Amino acid sequence: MNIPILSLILWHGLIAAIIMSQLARSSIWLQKSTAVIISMLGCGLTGYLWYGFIPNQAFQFVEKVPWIAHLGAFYHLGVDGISLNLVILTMIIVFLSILSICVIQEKNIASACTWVFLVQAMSIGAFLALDGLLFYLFWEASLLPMFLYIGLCGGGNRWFAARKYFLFSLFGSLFFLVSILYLGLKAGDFSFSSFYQLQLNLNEQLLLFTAFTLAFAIKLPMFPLHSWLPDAHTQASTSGSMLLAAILLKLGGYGFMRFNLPITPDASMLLAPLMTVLSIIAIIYIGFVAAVQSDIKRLIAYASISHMGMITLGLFVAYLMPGSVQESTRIIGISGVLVHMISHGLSSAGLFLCFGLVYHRLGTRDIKDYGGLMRVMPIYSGFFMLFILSNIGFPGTAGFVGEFFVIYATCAANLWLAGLAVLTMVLSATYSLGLVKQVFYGRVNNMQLLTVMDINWSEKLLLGLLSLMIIGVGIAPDIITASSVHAIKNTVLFVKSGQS
Amino acid sequence: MQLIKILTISSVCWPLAAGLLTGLFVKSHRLAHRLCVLGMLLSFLSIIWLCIQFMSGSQQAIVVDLMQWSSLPNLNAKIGLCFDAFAIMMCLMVSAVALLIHIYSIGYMQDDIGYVRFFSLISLFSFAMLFLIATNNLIGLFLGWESISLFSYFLIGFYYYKNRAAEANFKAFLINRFGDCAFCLGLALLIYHCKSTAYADVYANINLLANTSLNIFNNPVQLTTLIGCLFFIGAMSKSAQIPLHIWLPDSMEGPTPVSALLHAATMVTAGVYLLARFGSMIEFSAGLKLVITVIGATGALFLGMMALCEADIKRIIAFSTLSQLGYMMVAIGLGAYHIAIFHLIMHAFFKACLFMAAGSVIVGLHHEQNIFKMGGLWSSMPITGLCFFLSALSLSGIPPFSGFYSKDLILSVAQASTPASFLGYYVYDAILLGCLVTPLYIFRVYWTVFCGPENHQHGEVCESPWTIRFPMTILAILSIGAGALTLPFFVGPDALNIVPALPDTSAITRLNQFINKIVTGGLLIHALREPALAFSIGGVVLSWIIYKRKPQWTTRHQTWLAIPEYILRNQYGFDWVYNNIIVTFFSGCARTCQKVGEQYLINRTIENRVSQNIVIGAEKFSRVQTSYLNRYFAIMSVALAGLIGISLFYSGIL
Repeated sequence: MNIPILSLILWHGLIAAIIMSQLARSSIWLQKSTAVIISMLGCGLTGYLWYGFIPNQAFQFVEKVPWIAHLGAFYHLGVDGISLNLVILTMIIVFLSILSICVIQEKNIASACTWVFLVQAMSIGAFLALDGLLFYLFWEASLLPMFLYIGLCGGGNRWFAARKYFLFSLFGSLFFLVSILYLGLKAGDFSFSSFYQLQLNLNEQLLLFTAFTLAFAIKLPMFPLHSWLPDAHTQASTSGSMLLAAILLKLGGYGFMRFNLPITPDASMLLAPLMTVLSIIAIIYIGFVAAVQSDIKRLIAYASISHMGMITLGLFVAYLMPGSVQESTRIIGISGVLVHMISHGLSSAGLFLCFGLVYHRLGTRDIKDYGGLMRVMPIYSGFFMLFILSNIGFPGTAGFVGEFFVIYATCAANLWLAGLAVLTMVLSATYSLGLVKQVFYGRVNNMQLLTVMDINWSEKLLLGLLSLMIIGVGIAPDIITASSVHAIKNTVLFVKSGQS
Repeated sequence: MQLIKILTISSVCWPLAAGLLTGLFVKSHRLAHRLCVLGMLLSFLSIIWLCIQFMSGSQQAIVVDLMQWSSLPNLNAKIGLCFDAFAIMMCLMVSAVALLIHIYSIGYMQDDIGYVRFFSLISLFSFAMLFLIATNNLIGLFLGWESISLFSYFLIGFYYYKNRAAEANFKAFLINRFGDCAFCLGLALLIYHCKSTAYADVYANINLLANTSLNIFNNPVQLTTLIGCLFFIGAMSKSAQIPLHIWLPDSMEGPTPVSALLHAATMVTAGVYLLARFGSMIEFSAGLKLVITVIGATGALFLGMMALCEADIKRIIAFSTLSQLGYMMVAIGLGAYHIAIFHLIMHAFFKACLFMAAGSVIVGLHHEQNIFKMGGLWSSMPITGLCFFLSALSLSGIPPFSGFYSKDLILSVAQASTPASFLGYYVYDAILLGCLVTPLYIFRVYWTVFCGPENHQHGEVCESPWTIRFPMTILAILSIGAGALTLPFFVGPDALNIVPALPDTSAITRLNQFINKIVTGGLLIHALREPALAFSIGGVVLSWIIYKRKPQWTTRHQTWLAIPEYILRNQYGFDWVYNNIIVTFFSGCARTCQKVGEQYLINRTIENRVSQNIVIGAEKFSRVQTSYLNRYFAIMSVALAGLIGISLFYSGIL
């Protein structure tokens, strides 16, 4: 394996961004075709990576080059089951958002694509980095293109939303930086493997856990720190929302998996009750909040937060299980988290994309302006319904798998907790189908709706691709779980000696 | 062997293929119904073939694996199909009724703009129902279970431009989802404790489950009881048991074939199917069985009574379905699982026939559903009238119609095995009274619609086309003869094998011996000695007197009838409680969360205050920048002196 495939995938986005930024003055056709071709190339590279990946091994395709040698920081990339799946998700979502830009927008295509490719490069960097400092670099850098993308290409109140997003994330990252530096100094270098080997006492772990959690909980977002997300989503453009929901939120979950659980297992054990309670609050309380939103994008954003509650629940419930529970149950819980991250990426991207298509036609986000859309756009309604089904965890779609795995794991820990978590099925149905009822069913009240055309072939293609993936993951979740079990067993649930 | 495999898969998958093809690619009406009817026909024929294979062979379950859903350790899910006696029996009924309803829809939906969509949806529904029955795996079961409520959602909301349809399908889905939620939890627990998702492993582990208990409020609860309760909540929502029944009457917003297929014959019986499928688990918990019996009996009587004051023909039949589902639940709760299945299948025939006849009337009268605006249709629609009459007799349990056999068996079992306590007497009396109420409401419809004076303003009414008449006639024949024909399967010595893995408890054996004794002694002779048959016949006669012979009777007694009428019209206030208490409570909660939690606490109190304080602090701090050089100099020298002092201190000089 002589090709530095990970570097290629990582730098692909950056090079693409540079190319796209040079095309701002060229013809629209050239901009569109270049962006699509480059993005397809990226997907091809990822396909090659997927092809060469061996499921039952630790980090593969490792590249290690000294970077800041005297600090012990390396340009150290590698991929395991968890990051592989997230990289694939990123590439697919980027491809789809490039397509959506080409389909929806008539101008500023090059600049939009530039930001998208930059987000791709930074988040893939974060997923591939095996070095704490490198991870921090990409993690922090992923903020900027998104900030600018919302700020430059967003809706009416865009700078407020962009600033809120930026400040929230930055606040968390500062603590994260300090803890990375602390770990690096203590371990002598910044590689994850030496972080995992460190023996930390409980006080250190608690401090580190808090710092990590602040960073990841804001990014994810977890319950009390979530308020930036609805604002950011409502103001971001369609592709911006897709990237934000599908990829950038996943950075938070990925961080929990890479840092909190393996580096500070004792603290995770100690604080697991708190984290699960926050998750349950997110699931139920946010479910209620989502039900009364009048802005469609806000509703989908709140639905995302509720789903993220499921993710943190799955992560920390592994620490609530009594000692007699087999390891395989914990693995199922964490696999569920991974599948749920992917499926949420696909379904929320689908919902934002779908909404973008109709927003592009009608220009309103208010639910009250819709109603009876099924009469005007029947094919579109079918696709929207599929994404909604995935969102409410309907079996056969991707959304069910993760949810069920997490509920399964929760059953092993605590029946009451499982009883509360399973309520998400009713709550999500309430807000999602409430949305469907108000948008698609009933009489057409807004006469402007009658002038709208159903989706054309390119839009069908776009939504069809996404639907196929959602159903694919739903009926064969092994695609994701088989490759990641090893990684989950050996890195996430990697429990150091002295642990029960 | 290979042929069997292909047949097994084709028995389920043809409707799927037909439904998908039609939904995605077909535009022409004729192609749509041809494809879907063909798909259903192929599926029906394959199931018949399978049935013959099964009966002539060693009666071993036919198992075919379809795909690997998950291969994680302890959650290894191979989804496949398993045709045992129970599945074959149910599949035969479902595919037969579905095929007939496909044909019926050709006539009924004739001029509808959503014709193609309709056929695609009912084909897909038939697939989901067949899959639910034939799967051998808990994950597959849940997939089928949720899919049928999804297609029910689509079909209730078929006329999507009607606001009432939108309300009804939302309500139906949510209530079903509530049950699914409990069901899903039960599934997770079951899979976790059995370490497998296959039925076979679940059956093998039942004793283990019965011996494991979880602590709930410091009381040890057997796992079988807990999971059984959760499954029962799921079954309650799907099979419309009190208090989760309120979605079913509203679901009549869908087209009539949908009511016949989903909300009478197949989908609503899925709950009964589920409980019978896991009868071996429920058998362990006497308390749960009593609860099932009481809820079933209450529904059988009181929900049936609501039909007496209803004017909408479809809603009357829907109330009747609620009542009959109650009978099935009683049988389940008494441990007579195979009798419940017997009644389920008989009910599917006569209830589908009733709905079809009602649909035929509705079509004939240009979508008039109020029975008081019909009347005297016998002369213009004789075949419809005859079908309605026969299936109404079957529903009432008059011998020798199909309904008689199953209903009489349920009543006999109830008489023999309800405990001698207040609840036991209540259950038996409720279902006995139900026998009186059933003919009363259904013949009320019959006398009003088909006999008496013509009340409609539609001039010449003519009989429906053959596509409507033909399936209706077949079902009418089935509701006459199916009971007598299939009785041996349900009461013979092998009858207990219908329900998989039933434990060999003495209660079960005693029950079966009792049933055998009745049947060998002649069911009719037994029935003549029991009050049930008298009640049924009395009901028919009574309804003839009240609604045909002396129609002025109800008007004369209007004053005192007003109170029960008020109660029944308002459906015992269930809807009121749902709309005014539960919905208000939850929307209040949601609004409070939004107002207090999001807007007041998080946004205004925390975020705005923090950001304001940062701004205020920064402003205060900026006053340090006074632009007076001497002050800067003073601060600088103090700071410098401090720094020097500290460094000297730490280097040990001071």
